[in-house]
Amino acid sequence: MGYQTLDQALSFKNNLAPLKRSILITDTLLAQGNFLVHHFIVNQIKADKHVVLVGLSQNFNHYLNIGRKLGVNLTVSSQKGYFSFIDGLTSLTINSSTIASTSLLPTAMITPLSITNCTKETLLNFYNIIKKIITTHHASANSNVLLIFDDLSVLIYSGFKVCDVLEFWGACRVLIEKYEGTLISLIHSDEVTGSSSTDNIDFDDEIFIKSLIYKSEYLLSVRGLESGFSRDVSGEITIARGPKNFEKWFRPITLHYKILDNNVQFFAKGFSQGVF
Amino acid sequence: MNNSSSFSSFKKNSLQTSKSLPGARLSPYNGQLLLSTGVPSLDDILGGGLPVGTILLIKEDKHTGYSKLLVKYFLSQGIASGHHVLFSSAEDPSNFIKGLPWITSNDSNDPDEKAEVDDKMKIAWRYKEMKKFESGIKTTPTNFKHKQVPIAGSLRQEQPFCYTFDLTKSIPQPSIDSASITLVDVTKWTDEQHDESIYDKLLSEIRRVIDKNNFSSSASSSTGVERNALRIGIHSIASPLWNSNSPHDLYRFFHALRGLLRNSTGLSVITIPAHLYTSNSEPCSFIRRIEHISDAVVELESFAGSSATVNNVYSASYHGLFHVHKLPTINSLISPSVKLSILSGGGGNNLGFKLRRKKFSIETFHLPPEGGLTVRKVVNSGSDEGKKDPYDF
Repeated sequence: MGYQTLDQALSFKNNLAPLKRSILITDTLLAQGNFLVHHFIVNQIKADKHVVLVGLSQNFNHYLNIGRKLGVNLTVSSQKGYFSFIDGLTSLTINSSTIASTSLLPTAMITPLSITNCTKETLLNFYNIIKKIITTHHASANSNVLLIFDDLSVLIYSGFKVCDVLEFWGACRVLIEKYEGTLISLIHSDEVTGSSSTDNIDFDDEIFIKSLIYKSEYLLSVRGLESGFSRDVSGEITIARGPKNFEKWFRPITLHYKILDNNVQFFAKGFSQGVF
Repeated sequence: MNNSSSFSSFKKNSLQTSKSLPGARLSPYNGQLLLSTGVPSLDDILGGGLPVGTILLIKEDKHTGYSKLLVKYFLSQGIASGHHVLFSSAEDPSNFIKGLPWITSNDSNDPDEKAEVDDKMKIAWRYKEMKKFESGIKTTPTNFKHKQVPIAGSLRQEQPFCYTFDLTKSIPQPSIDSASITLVDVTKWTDEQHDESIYDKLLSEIRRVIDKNNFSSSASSSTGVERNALRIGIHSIASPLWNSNSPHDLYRFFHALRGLLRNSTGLSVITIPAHLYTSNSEPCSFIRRIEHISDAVVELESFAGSSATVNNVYSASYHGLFHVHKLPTINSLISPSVKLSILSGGGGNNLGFKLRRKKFSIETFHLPPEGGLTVRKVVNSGSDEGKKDPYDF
């Protein structure tokens, strides 16, 4: 089961991410948003729907272990064909020929991804890998594939051009809409007061974040508490609608959350159990 | 149906984690394989130790060398446990190795520890039985008979998790000679080729060491070789001595290193002079990106290097502040440190570090009792019989 209190807050139909939509998760260093990714994976797998996970910052074991705590076994799901993992961490920067047999885990269905230089062609190859996986394994009518990027900032930070990454993201979006799926992307958006406004890095980041916000229907923005650290509250999450989204059932809300061993509790601001 | 399948994979998991390394222990929280950083208090803050396969990033202190000490502890612990050590720096790495601290001998009588023993209550004896207030982590004195470096594999069971090091002792030459050490001086490369960045070269060097010594987790399990750990220490990465072509080089290095370590029995401690990249102690995005890709991030802020005036009360008992920005969260939703750490108390405590003559330690930061720690003198002028009180009429 995913996080029950988050399901209530999102009030998605059947607790599944709405089809043909994009969900954007933004997080900061002090309050990381990875825990939301697991929520969507678990809900999707439990409902016998398909997931394609692009792990750019974590390896398969990490998702496997947490998934096990939350009640799904991703190894079994991938054997059944419900789950595919694209490893973008161990093989992002080296030739796939050198790592072909050594670093692959035999338990998981892993497609190595290799990016040797940060050009548009490599992103095109990347897209083709994703497309191939979706069309061959997750294209059936009721699979409703969920494509997850954890996290997309890695591409920008590695030196890909913002416009290229946005184009790549747009292509994935079109692909997902074609197969009646959903796209979830995690990006980092720390509020960094840049030392100089001429700094290209900060400028790129800002364009990237804002573009994705404008292209997404749902925004989940995670950040630490303004008042600093608290033992009973891990952070604050704002569930908001994107600029294009006019759905009436959707209720934007800001909640606090606390991460537990194998669950995350979401509650109204100031209503932490530790307070009472 | 998911349940039945998850049971069978549990078995597999316990098998995976039982592959032990010299000097390693399993995290009581999530069964993660941990190795010591050499500093017991830092181990505690990280949740028992640094998980194998992760990167600890240390943001260096300004103008002082405390973060260098943490790397030294990390490497000494590795050499003492018989791990393979890879050290890279732009400032003469071989000299750095010679200056590593070494294990305390048992007969040494540390004045600090002696003082603690003599610390009997002079008043309020009935509180003597109560638990002492601890602001630091006690090192349990490890009684070991072997003064030499234990040969990897032979003494596997007897090895302590964390040796006690003495900063006044330096590593004996035989220990350096017998240890397996790879030193990488990055300044040696700069003249050769310009097409490849310094970080690419360092990464291929690390990859070569991993391949050659079977540190890759899949390779060693298949061949049945004795597993050993690889400790990678990098001092002052991205300092002006490291030539780099683009700001993305460093990020790519960290990303690739993280991927490499995840599938090997390696772990890494890297210090970065973050203050060089910021103008007024605000975080800058260049450093923030590196923090995102590291597994744990801590920062040392020394009082000596701080431009702000520091209250004497602080600087008398601590040498600086210790900030924790990110804790290793691998294979679990929350960091084990939140549950296990005594010092950080779930992340809520302020931490300070102090450097004594023989050891470096991190403690909870708190104010001394009102009026200071000096013994309050009671001047009893009234008892002086012969002299007349000037205020007496």
